[in-house]
This record gives sequence, structure tokens and C-alpha cells, in this order.
Amino acid sequence: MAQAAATWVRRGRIGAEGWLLAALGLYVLGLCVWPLLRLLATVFADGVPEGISFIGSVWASDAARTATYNTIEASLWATLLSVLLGGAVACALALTDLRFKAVLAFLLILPLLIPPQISALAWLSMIGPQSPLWMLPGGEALQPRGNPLLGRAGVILVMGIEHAPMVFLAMRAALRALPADLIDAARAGGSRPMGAVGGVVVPLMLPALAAGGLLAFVSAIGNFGVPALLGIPGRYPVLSTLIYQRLSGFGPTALAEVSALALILAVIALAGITAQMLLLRRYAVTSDSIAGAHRGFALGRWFWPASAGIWALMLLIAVLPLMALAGAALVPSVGVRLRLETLTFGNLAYVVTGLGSAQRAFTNSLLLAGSAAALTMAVSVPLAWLIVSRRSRLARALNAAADAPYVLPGIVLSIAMILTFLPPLPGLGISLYNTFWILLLAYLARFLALGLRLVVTALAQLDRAAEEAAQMAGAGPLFRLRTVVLPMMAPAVGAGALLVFLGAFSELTVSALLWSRGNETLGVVIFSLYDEGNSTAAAAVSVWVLIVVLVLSFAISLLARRLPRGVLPWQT
Amino acid sequence: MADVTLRGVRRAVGETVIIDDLTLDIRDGEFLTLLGPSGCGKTTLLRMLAGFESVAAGEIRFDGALMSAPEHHVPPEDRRVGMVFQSYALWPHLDVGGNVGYALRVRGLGPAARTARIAEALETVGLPGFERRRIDSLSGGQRQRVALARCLAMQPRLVLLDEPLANLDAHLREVMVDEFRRFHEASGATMVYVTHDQAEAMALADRVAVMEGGRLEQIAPPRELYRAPESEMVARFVGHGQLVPVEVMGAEDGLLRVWIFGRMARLRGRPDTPPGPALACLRTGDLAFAEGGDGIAAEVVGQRYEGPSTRVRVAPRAAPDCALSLNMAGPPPEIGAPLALSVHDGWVLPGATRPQAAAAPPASATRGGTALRG
Repeated sequence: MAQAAATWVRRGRIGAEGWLLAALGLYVLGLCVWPLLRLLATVFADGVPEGISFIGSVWASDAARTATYNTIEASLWATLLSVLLGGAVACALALTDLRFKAVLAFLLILPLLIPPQISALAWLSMIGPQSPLWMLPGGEALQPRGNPLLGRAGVILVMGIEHAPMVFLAMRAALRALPADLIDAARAGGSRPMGAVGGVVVPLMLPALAAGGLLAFVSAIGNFGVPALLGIPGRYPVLSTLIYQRLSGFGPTALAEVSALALILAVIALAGITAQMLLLRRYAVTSDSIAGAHRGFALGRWFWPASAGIWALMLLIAVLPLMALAGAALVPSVGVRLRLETLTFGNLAYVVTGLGSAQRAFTNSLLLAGSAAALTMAVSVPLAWLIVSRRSRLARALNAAADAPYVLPGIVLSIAMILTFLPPLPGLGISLYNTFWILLLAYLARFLALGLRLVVTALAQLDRAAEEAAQMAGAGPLFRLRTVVLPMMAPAVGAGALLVFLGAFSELTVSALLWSRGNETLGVVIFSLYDEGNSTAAAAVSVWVLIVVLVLSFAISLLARRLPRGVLPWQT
Repeated sequence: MADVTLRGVRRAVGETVIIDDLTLDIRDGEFLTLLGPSGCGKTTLLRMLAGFESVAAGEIRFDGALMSAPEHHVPPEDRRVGMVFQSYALWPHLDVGGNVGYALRVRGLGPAARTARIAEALETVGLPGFERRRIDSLSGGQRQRVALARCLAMQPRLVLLDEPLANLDAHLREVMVDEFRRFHEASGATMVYVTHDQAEAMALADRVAVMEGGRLEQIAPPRELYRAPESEMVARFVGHGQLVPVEVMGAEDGLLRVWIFGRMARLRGRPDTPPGPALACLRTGDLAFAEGGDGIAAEVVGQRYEGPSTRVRVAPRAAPDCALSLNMAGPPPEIGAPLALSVHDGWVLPGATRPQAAAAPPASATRGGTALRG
């Protein structure tokens, strides 16, 4: 009798778990997989050979070829810069006795937290003719006439700095995993510090450096904010800006052509992603040593010159651009020099009280980022639980599928979203295109991987026995999820929500093609204001976004203390 | 309370067999320890009882009710089995009371009844009034007791303990061994305790089940296990038995007459042990230096000072490769010194003969003895 009841209850529970998996599967497939399949289906609608010849005909145009060439060229140079900058700083922080390493690390990671379009704007303000830099003694002679950052050099420079943190983080993780005794053994064998670095550290770090570099490369391929602000006015088109210009110039009639362009972009990105995955799989860092990380060589008489050098570098790449941006927001209009008597908070007040599009953008972005964060975490927790605790094979496949919209260039996703949601929804007869909802759906697709990865990593580190103990107490799956898993995961869920919010709040790449009048987002408004020539207002909106970004980053780092190791991408 | 029966239980992951055709009866109210080296399958067996692992063949029954079989698996939450984990697995987001009362909350017990049962369980483990304490404010020993109280409060029919003392320091471990013993006597619960520490196993259990390679080597009360191991593995693993080749000559007055390194000795053994080559298990305490030099001729090959005594390693002349250890008080002999050994006690393993290592034939043994005399 009791046994029969137990069996019956068990069937009921498997049912509950099955329904959960089905609902989550529908969510992931509908948002992350279906749109990308639509993109493929659009290009290859008439068959594979026809699709390939169509891509060939798009490819034959000078514009497409130039943009492809520029995309690869700019990404390669930017990656080189990222590798040099990120790798050198990571080595300097891990292997020397420099002081205030946490602050230096934060400054280097800062560009990753700042939306690309704001970075571009900040660099424009710092190097442009109005920059306060040229007011310094002797600066007058250096003041440029136009803005030298508009064009190829600027795109490469800003993207290179923007993606340097990825290389830095990959290197830092590997350097920390590198046991000190390997270096000590080289020293004991008679090599000097530089010899040990060259002979032991660098060879062991090459895979991490390459993996970080490939990540930077893929990000550069998909970057839109930087080439949009620096490349479009500088007549240096890349694939993402070409797609944007075609679609915003010709509207949905250009969909077929931009789909082909998006596919070319996706293929380049996929090559980078595949190379990175192969590299990580082949060279996964394993070490049988129990020794801790190296404590750093004493710099001796080089301590002060090295300190001065690295602080000057960090000031230049992380602090000065933001100060210049703030300066640009504090002058009454473009072209006015920042002095004590010209300083005004009028722009900052105007963009939140007088400028309709910016006001709407604040509301929209807050709403979008807030709902994207809440929904993403609501989906991530049960999905992560199915992946980690229940070891569901299907759930693991969904985990991989959720990665696709995050690692592919954002512009590819937005084309896929348009193709999917421009036609009226079956059964409802309404199109989501030109509405708030397409933005929300796109954000949900884009940022699911961000929240999910964090929860999966945190959950994988939880003691499995904690849940098993609840099972021994007689608790069923959903009761365990609610009373044990979720409360123990709360810090990770909070951090994940903040991370998704941060990403969505100033998102530009995906929004640039999906926004419509009345549904502006902050990223789009900054870009449009700048495009209209109203740099002061663009800078003012950026300053507000920066304030939110910095406050949220601070909130995440407060949470970080309660998180398991390695959960946050930039955790120290 | 329940008696547990396992019949022909098997578990395999891919080609690797983890539990192989294991049959075992655990009596109602018994304290059974599963002892074995790491990787012997003891934790897997425990998790099969809990319901975390399924069986590939055979069946597990509690009080006759089928729990696990290849086509039938009652999930852990429906088995009413309590478990104390090696990591304790206390939930940090709940206080002590919340941890202990969790199972009662699952069962929908009212707050008043819950409070009473929690207090009772905490009382039993010696932590009265700890309800509102946070888990991270507790010491290791206190956490251990909370884990035990959590297990008690659900009134399980079977209590499983997975190396619960592994994370405690040596002193606390001794205290907790006594606590477990007391707790078992007071509650009368059927308990299965996994450990790789034989001292713990011997001190706690009514019966010890020694496992190796997914199989049960022997199951017996601790004293019997130590005095009369049935296999080489048990002899070596429990109490570091030293195995030496002997030649069984016959039974006499309940003991066996055996040739051992060229001398005749009388050792314990099964009366039905057939004459011929066999292995004997000698403990360090079974050996002594023979007064007056009349004994097995041997030579000192090593020594290690251990505080109360010195462990001396000696090699019998008859079989120099078969070095033996014994303890001695006082100043140790020098390495290379000749001496004579006497054997007080020992156990002849039943049926565990190794033809290739069989006792030296009496002829050569006699030669060894002659060498001593000469």
C-alpha cells in the first residue's frame, strides 16, 4: 500500500520535473535557437547552392568586401593591442611586488564594464580639439584640428583597450593557477627572475594568452559601438556598421542582403570561437602541485619607475577618458572650453528633465534591463538546477544552445530577431517589430548565457550533500529547489541579476536595429544624439549611465564576498 | 527501526563493476560498520541504501518492502532513511533549529510539535537551547552533533553515516566515537557506518563488514574479525596482520600443529583445516624474543623507535624475504644481530593457501633449524 503510494508520488514528481524541463526548453529554443535558424533559413530559402551563390553575389560588392577586410584587419590589430596590454599588465601584477594591485586590476577591468559607445565618446572627448588635455602647459602645440580618432586608428585603439581586460582576466586566472614552485624550481636551477619568466612562465602562459586573445578577437569582430561612433564618421566601414547602415537606410527590403552579410560575420566569429574552444580543451591547465601562486619578484631599484609607468598607463586608459567625458558634459555646448566660469550642470539636468527621447530612454532601459534581469534569473535557477543537480542531458544541451546568442555578434542576433518577429505572430496576427517587446525578447536571448553561466558555476560548487540531506528528509524536487537550493544560491542569483541588468541597461548593438520611436534605449539615444552632432547631450546621458554602471559594479563587488570562487568573471 | 536485506546486489558504471553480487543482512537495531580501503565500494553501497544510486541487479529490502531492484527504485525522499554526511551538509541559510526541523517541515508537522521535537533532538545530542544559533558560529564537533540531531528528528528507520568523523581532530574523534555508541544504545536505531579507519570500526560496531573491490570479504563481530580473519586481505587490513607460510601437520586439543620457519608451533585455526601448506596471520604481539636462544633463528634487519616501544624488524634465516615485526621495550638489538623468536599465538587462515609461497618443506625447514643450532 505504502509502496504503491510511493511509486505513484514518484511518477507525479517526475512529471513535475518533466514539465519544468519542457517549459525551459521551449523558452531557450524559442528565444536562442529558433531566430538563428530563421536567419539560416532566410539565406538558404531556395536551397543550399542557391544560398551560397546569393552570399557570393552579396560578397561581390565592393562595400561588402571592404567591410569584411576592415573587420578582420581592425580586429587583428585591436587583438594585438589587447594581448600586449592585458598580458603585460597581468604579468606585472602577478609576478612583481607592485603595490595596490587590486586598484590597478580594477582600473584595467573598468573598460570592460563601460559600454563601448561610451568608451568611444570618452576617447573622442579626450583626444578631440576641445580636450582639456591641450590646456595643459605646452599642450597648445599638440592640439589636433580634426579628431584623429575618427577612422581606422581610433577604432583599433579603442577596441584594443576595451577588450584588453579579457586577455588580462584569462592570463590572471592562468598565472594564479601556476604554482610558485615551478618558478622557484627554475630559480633554484640557477636562472634569474627574467630567465624564469622567459623559460617557464611565458611558455606555460601561451595557451591562456591565445585563448584570451581569441576572445578579444571575437568581441572585436562583433563590436558595434566603437566602429559606429568612430568608424562611420571616419569612413572606415566594418561589417557590423555596414549591416546597420544598409538596414536603417533601406528598411526591411534590405533584409535578404543583410542576412547574408550577418552570416558572413557569424562565420568569422564562429571561426574564432571554435579556435578558442579547441585551445581551451587541448590546454586545460592541470597542475599536480599544491603550492600557492607566486608572491612576486622584488623589483628593487626598478620599483619606482615601474610603479610610475603602470599608474600613468592606467590613468591614461581608464581615468582620463572618463574625466574628459565628464568635462564634455559640463560645458554649455560643443566647442566651448571647460573653465570654471563655463562649467554648468545644465546638460545633466536637461537630459533627464527636458529631452523627451532621453527621458523615455531612461524609463525604457530601466524597464527592459529590470525585466530582462528578473526573467533571466527566474529561468536560470531552475535550468541550472536541472543541469547540475539532476544532470539532465537535455538541460545540458539547452545550456549550450543558450550560449549561441551571447557569443555571436549582437548584430547577427538582431537580424535574426527581426526575421523572426517581423512577420505577425501565428494565431495573434500582430507583429512585435517596432514594439518594446522585440527589444525585451532580444535582451532575454542575448543575456541568458550571462546569468545562466554564473548560476551553473555557483551551483556546481555547492556541496551536493546539502541537497541530498534535504532528500533524506523526504523533500521532493520542487520543495528542495525552493527551500535549500534557492536560498543557498541567493548571492549568485543577485550577482547574476545585476550582471544582466548592467549588460542590458546600456545595450546598443542589439538595440540599434530593433528600437523604434517611443521605444528608445539609452545606448541608442547616446548614439543618436552624437550622430545629430549634439555631443554635449550625448556626453551628459553617458555620464548618467556611467554613474549607474559604477554603482552597480560596486554592488556586485560587495556581493562577491559571499560568492563561491570563480563565479564572477572579474572576481579577485 | 528496520532490518535490511541485500540480495545479489550489483552496480556497474560502464565496464567498471563497483558492487559485485553482494548479499548482506543487517539486523534490526544493529550497528554495522562498512570497513575497507578507499575505492572498495563502501560509500557506493551506503548511497545505494540511501537511494542515491540504483542497482543493476539484485534487490534491497527494508523490513521486507522492496526499495531497489533493476526495475523498481524508491527515491531517497520516500525511504525515511537518515544520513549523516562527511561534510555534515548543514544548510548555512537556516539556523540550528531550521536544520533539525527541516524533515518535520517537509512532513507538514505543526509549529508546536516541531518545536518540541527539535528541542528533544538537540537535548539528545547535548546541545539544548541551540535552536537559534547560526551554523557558521558552531565548532566542528557541534556541527557534527547538529547533523546527528537533524537525522534523529526525522525518526528514520535506518541511519546511514558516511565517514562522519573524517573532518574532526583526533581528540574530538575519540569523544564522538563514545557519543555514537551511547546514541546507538539509547535510540536502538539500525545504523550503517562507513569508515576506512579500523579503530573506529572496531570501537563502534556490533559487526564489521570488510569490503574490497566491491565484494564483501568478511562480516563478523570486531573481536572475531581481529582474531580469526578469513582472508589474506582482512588479515592484512585489520590490525596489520603479518602473513607467513606454514605447513599444517594436524589438529590437537583444539589447536593446529604447524611447521613455521623450521620449528613446530601450535596456532589457532579451524579444526577442519586440511594438512598441507597454508598461511598464518601473526600479530606483532604474537611474537617475542625467545629466552635462552631456543626458537626460530632470525636476524635483525631494521628498527624504528616509536616511544613506548621499539618496532624491530627481523628476517627468519629460513626465509629471509619474509621479514616480521615485533615490539620490544628496552634498548633495541643492533642491526645484523642474530636472535631467536618464539610464537605465542597466531591464526591459520582457512583455505587461503598460496602454493607458490607455500611453507618451506620440512626438510629445508629442518636445515634452517640446524643452522641455528650450529
